[in-house]
Amino acid sequence: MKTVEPEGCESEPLDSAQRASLAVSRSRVYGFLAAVYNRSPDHQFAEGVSSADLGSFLASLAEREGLPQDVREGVRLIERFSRASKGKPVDEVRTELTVERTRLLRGVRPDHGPPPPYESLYRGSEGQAETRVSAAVAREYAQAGVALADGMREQPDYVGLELDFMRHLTEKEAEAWAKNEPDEAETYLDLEQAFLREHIVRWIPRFCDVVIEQADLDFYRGMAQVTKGFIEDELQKMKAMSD
Amino acid sequence: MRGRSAARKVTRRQFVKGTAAVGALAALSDKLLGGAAPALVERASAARQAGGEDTFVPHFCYLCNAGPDPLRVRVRDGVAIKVEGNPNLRREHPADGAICSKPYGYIQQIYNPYRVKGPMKRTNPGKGDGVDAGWQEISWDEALDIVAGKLAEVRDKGPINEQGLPRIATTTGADGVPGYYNGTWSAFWNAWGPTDGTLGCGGGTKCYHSEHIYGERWHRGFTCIGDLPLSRYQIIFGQNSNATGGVVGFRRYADARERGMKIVVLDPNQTVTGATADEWIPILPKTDAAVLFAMMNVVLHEIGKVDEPFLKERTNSPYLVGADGYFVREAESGKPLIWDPVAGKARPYDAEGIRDYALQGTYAVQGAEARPAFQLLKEHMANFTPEWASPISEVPAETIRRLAQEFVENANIRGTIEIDGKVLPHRPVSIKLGKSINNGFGGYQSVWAAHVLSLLVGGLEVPGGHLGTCTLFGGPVRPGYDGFPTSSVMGDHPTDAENWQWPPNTRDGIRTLCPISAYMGPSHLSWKHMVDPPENWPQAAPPDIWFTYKTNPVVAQSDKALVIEGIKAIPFFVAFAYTVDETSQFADLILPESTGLESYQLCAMGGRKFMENFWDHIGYHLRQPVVSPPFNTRDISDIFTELADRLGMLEAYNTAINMGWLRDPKTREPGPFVLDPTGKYSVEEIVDHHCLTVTNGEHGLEWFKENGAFLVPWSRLNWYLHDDMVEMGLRYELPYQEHIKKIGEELAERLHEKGITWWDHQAEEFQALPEWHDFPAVYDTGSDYDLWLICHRTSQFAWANNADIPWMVELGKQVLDIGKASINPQAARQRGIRDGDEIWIESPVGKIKAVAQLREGVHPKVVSTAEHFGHYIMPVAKETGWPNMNFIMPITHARTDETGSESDHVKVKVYRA
Repeated sequence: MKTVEPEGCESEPLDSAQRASLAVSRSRVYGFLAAVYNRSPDHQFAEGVSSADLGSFLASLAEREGLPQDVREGVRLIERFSRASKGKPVDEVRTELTVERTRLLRGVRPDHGPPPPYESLYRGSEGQAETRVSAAVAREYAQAGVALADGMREQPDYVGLELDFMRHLTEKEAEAWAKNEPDEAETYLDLEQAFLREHIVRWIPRFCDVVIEQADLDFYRGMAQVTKGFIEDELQKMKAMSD
Repeated sequence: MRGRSAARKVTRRQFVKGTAAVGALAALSDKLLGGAAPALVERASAARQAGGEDTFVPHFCYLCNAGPDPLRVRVRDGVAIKVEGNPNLRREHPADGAICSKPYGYIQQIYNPYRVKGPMKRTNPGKGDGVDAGWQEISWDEALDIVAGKLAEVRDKGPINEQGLPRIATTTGADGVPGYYNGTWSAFWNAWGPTDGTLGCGGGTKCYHSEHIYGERWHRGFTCIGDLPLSRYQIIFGQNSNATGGVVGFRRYADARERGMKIVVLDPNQTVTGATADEWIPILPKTDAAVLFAMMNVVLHEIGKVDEPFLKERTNSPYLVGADGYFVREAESGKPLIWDPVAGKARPYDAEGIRDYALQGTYAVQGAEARPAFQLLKEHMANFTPEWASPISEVPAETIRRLAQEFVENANIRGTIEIDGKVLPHRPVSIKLGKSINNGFGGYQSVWAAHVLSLLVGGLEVPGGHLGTCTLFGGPVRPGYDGFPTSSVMGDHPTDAENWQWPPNTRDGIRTLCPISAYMGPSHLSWKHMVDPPENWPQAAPPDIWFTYKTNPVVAQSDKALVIEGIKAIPFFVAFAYTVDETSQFADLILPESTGLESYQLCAMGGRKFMENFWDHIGYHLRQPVVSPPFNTRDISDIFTELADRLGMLEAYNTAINMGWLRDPKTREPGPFVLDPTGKYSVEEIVDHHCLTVTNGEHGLEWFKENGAFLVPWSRLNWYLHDDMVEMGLRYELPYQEHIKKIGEELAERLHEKGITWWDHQAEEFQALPEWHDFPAVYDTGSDYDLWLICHRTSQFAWANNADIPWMVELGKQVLDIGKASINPQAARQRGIRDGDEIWIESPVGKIKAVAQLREGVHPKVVSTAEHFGHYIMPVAKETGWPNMNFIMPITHARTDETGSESDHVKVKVYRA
């Protein structure tokens, strides 16, 4: 499926193709964000980050109209990192990124980076036992018929998995629209909305704030800001739909 | 799903604005990630699992040495949600399937957000306490390649360095616990060759060291217990049995108390054990041997009632001792002689037709005077009266006298009991010693006296009496020298001029300094010998590589600064670590193995082992993953298999497994289910072979996964050595220690030949009949330091590596004797300290802060804290602020006894912070 920019009058309902296109678009963003949190930067990643090509892409992306403010600022930070990395040995960039990722996302120890990105940890103050939150998220995955890919090991409530679950739901929504099965698509939209409200927005923006504050590298600070902006944008749209 | 799309009209206004721009972000994915594969994929099995019924996975707990106890884990939607007792094994388990508090925290170990989630390597070469290592998460392939590469370099250089020390050192903590969790760790190192396991982490200080050495030597009493189900009376010196006995011990103590058994506890601190006893008697630290000696004095010189047949036939009491302190021996056979009063002559101890043995008197043998060992014992104890012991111990003389009387009165001398159709002596009394009694100077005297008291009433290794726990551990009883049993676990290092080990070939110098300690020596001294060796002792080079598992020496060992200095000198440090803690922070590489609830191992269960966990069943229980490990950890056995493969040593590794787990349980030879030495096996395959081996081919891994345990009935006759001793005509090497005396004399000679005099005091401890010395004086650091600081174990944390589990910490906060410093109100008043005040506890080497807890149940000259804490890096644990006395205890040779043990004692001053 290809991203298609919807056309037409502002008050006119979107048709299935347009809605499929929107879902694809959202799915790809969720997938990208999930992958950044799930994967340790490899050589290709480090090479890509420091490439001139990426720098100019990010520069133009940051200027696009309609970009939420947090997303725009996040993109600018990533661009700044990209520019600063240009010309550095790729292995050096990779080491910088992986050390930073380890500190920010892997919970090496308290006072050494943010609390690691698990919903159970960020919602601990709500009196939820870790296992209960994990079990609840795992149940959502199971009910949706998804499980961890081979070789993937993570706790269900990890930021990258929750975002990937949204990737899955939006992907399924897009497929339903593409097959012209609006009821099924709406069902997925319901699931997206519920998961967003019940899980994602209840902790990921908070996590992003901590990363923004504690990151040493602009790359992860930028990614956190993009993530936060995107989720807030999603939430606003969901609210708008409910209204 | 009926026509809802009509109800939610999504308009361009609502949705389009910005979406396209945001959507453009997705292009980043292609540029950076090349179309990364999703983390979640559709699976039919996942959908089936949803909303399914809870499942129960059988498992066991060996978080402390009182296990293993069966349990089961409730799993919902692939997440472990609860640990509970396993009702299916209620019949076999001596505590009816119950579990203690520790395993309830087990689940949080899986989902701990601060655990190490994948291999990490250090990027900052500068090591320092609290210095950021610049951890970089790496792949398992990279991590294993690094370790294998380093090991290969060492192999190329040769496993032994120029000093004769192994280039590889390994340290495992928590006493016997790691063996139930570390899979093929031992097989790998056996295949590798020589390693140095002596870089200490508190062993020798935190264990029952004297029992391990002397108890095992005498009767497999690696640790000693009372036979509670048949006991009437027990005296406990400084052991917190109701905290450390495990769920079976707790049950047995509760049952015994209900039945009317009397328990007396002598301890400077009224622990939960003292609090639940019939009587708690405060005693000054390190004076236990004085009280025990005085009890012997009362039995021998006032009561005069002993089990003569037992002493004559099962001990060396009748062996004749010459003026030189050695046994008088038959010239031809070299066998020790006894005096046969019926025949009126000396005869070898095992001669045919001996009708009686003299225990007392003086006899002319081989042209000189000789006396039975018992006679010497009696004379030796003559001056140790209760009136002598009382001012030393602050236990009233009349109390000591009464305890001796109660002990003998309850001993039921000459009483019998029928066990499984066999009539055995029944002596329902015992004496138990805690860790600090068993450690450091005074340990030998205490453990000897406790054993001899049991001996005097015939209470060793008989129903109701004083039992050693490690028959299974040490293999069957076998005859050794002079009619005594030998232990395959312990053995003496030579002290003769030709064979004595010089230079030392381990960093602690165990074979050089501690001839009777087998493999359990002065591991704390390794740090000293690497950093600051004593006169005429070679400074030990650090190992090229150090591997650690379930251990945290920076916190668990005394003298933190010394330990850190030693660790920093090690060129490459690989930590199998669950969290970054005070020790693993210095690692070059951290390998996170899957936790106990995430990995496989088949372990022995039942029978008898270490604590009160004597069972009527015996067999094996499987440890298995209750859920898929949530992080990028690996089963430790798979880690070692990968390393063996990378190093081209699979054949040696598999052979080591075949010689270990896969030996036929009966023949002890490699059994029918051995591995092909050239193969590469997964942990499931290895454990499957193990399951088949122990069940004679009846059950494989799948059966164990379903059923958990394979247990068969086990006769209580196996609980007691007595029968084997009688059948083999063996005697306990008690009360006289001729062999030890000889060892001490030879050791002193050897050391003096090397100009070493700083171990004289230790060498002198090896006496045939141990003497009382002023043991408290060993710890004297001047009048300013007027209180003793001691510590105690807790049931929530002992041995368990669980101070980073939030649930356990929460529980610990509710327990009276955890996290605070207990001080007697009288001592507190003198220092202006009120309950809840922050105080400094200061020794000559440092100070620690604690919250004062005023309790009458502490000796006025003592401050007591719980051990296991003091973390300042480890997640969760560091938040508690709970004190750790290790930080203010020095590592010195002067505090180390002849077996290589030091004790958790230090003199301190205490004042408000």
